[in-house]
Amino acid sequence: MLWPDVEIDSSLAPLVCMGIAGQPGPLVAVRHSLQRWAAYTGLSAPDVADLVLASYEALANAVEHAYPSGGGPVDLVAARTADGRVLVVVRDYGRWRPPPRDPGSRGRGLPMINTLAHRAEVQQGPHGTQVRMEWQLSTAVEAAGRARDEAR
Amino acid sequence: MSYFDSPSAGDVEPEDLRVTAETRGPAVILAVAGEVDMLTAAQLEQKIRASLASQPQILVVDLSKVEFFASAGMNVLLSTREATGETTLFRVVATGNATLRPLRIAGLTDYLAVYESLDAALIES
Repeated sequence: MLWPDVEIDSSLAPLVCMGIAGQPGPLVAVRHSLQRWAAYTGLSAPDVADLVLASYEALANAVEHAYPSGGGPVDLVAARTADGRVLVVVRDYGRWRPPPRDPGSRGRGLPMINTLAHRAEVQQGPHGTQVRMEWQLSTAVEAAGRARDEAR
Repeated sequence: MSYFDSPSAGDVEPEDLRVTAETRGPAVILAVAGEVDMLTAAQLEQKIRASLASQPQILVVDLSKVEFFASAGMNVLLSTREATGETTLFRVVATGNATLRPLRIAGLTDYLAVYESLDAALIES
């Protein structure tokens, strides 16, 4: 289980992309899938744009840093939770290498993820890195969703 | 409709970036359309380098038709800022969630001359 602590909203199928080849090319299709999926979450347009960009940066980080020789597997899972959040987890199975002291042009990914997501958490372990990002649905949208559910 | 897309290694979508150059008075305008990511950023960099060869007084990179702009694209803008130095005025047009928002979030609007329309970028010649 990716999220033992989370109850997934079963009315929206999670987006599951497992074993993406860790190269720039395959990330394009994943990003487009995520863009289409995110439009159904009820997030605002700026939040959808932030989600797609932050998730892409996490994928790009995995491709650039986890697999220096290229091509290792990367997973992305996105789901809406029963309590009105949208979660995206990006996971790789590479060796985490600490960012260089002078991050230069390459150190922009993680700080951007931290700003773009309402909450972000990076877990590094001996078997890979997991970036977990979270966006809160606005209460107006949640209220509309509840009203719709009640009307059924 | 299924969300269970699971792209594999062979599932590479065609690169989607179009860059057209136009000279208007002292300015070279590069109109960029499509998606700038780690795959297409090099293409953008190449076009910019080619435009700088003629040492224009002003270089405008117009991102108003860009639908996605990743940090790979930001690196290109920053290296262009360095490359232009004193010889060429480097200006960027960005608007909306896809480009202006990430540029602001990354703090690049403090470094680069960013305008919200091409007209605004050209008015200060």
